[in-house]
Amino acid sequence: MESEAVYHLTMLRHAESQGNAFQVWQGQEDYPLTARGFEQAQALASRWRKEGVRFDRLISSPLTRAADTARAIATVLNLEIETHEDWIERDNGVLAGTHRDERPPMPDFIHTYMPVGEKGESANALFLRAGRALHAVLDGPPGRVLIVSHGGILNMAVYAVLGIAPLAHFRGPRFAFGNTGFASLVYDPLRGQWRVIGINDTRHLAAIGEPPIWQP
Amino acid sequence: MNENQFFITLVRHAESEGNVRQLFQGQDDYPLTDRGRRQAAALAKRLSLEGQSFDEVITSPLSRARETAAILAAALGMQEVTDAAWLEQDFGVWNPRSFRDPDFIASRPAFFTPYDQPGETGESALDLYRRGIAAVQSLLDRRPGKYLIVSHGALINMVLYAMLGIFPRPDFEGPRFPHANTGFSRMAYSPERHQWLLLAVNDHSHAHGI
Repeated sequence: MESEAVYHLTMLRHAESQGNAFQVWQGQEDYPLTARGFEQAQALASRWRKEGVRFDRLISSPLTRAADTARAIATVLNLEIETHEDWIERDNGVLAGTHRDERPPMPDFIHTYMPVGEKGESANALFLRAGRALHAVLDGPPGRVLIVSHGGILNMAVYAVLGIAPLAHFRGPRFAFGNTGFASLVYDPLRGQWRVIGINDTRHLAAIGEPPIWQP
Repeated sequence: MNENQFFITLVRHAESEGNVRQLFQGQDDYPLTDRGRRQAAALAKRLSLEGQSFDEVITSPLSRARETAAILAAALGMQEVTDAAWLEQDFGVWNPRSFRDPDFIASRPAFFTPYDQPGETGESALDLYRRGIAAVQSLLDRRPGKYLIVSHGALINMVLYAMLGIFPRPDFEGPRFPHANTGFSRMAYSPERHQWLLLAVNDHSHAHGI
């Protein structure tokens, strides 16, 4: 039996940014949304308004691509935006903003404590930060919380929820987050139990003519 | 999708008579309800509209799964294959009680280890987990390709555990992946990186309003 005092977390990846369109590994480099990104954010805001979805809190990463996505939703659903540094994307060091073709060769094996891009965050550093960010949300009152963030850090937040530890060299499970794709997770503190309600829900994108992505 | 990839779609069966009566169905056999048949037809229509194709349609032998799979396979112009690897958890003497039955709730042990058998003779969490691992292995023993599987809620949860590297916890406290009738989860496996990519959990948008 579900108790009243549960946390409904919606973990949303930002809409398409210029960095996404250029296919670069953005990291903490700051890129604005593309025109299509603004449309995606608007499509999601309209969907949630139609469905009568409400949130008690909206927490956003400080980077422009997340903040602009958050603003589009906050305007439609009439929410205040709280900005939290811990939901920023992975620091990928010297690889920030690089395209695959211009990256220096990767080490043969990247263990979980090794910084990426020489001085960026290791897999474990990112995992610990995601755990701290999640903990801060659960230190607050139960309710419906929307988190607007990034693919790398959100993957580690889902790891923290499910009790999965990072593996070396980018192995281990990944959770898909398309632009404006969101995961829905419910935590019941009386049972200490998480329920995964959905992963990578992007159904609103059909309204702007983006075909369903059903295979990688 | 590259040629070494496995692309897996796990569907929970459509609504059965046992679901409507809120029973522990386990390995007992119940047919679909009319509503269940409409849910399966809605998913079949969606798969066709989205141009989804599969190399094999595999189903649990229980009627509620097999009927669902037959409706999906017919729409895809295919024939489903039955495999006992995808059977539901055996709940022992709890079948066919209702999980809402107050006598059942009162008699249920206060604490379950992952080794304890539900309903005295049923499958423990670890028994089921072991079957989840075997079910995953049975897919990866096939050639890379696209597989559509119709199975059951409890087993699908353990299959997800096996793919993601989660271990069962005492008293069913571990994470749950609830699946609606005809809700599907979808994942891709890349052997060269040993990486499972989870693409969807319990997508059942086709069944809204049925």
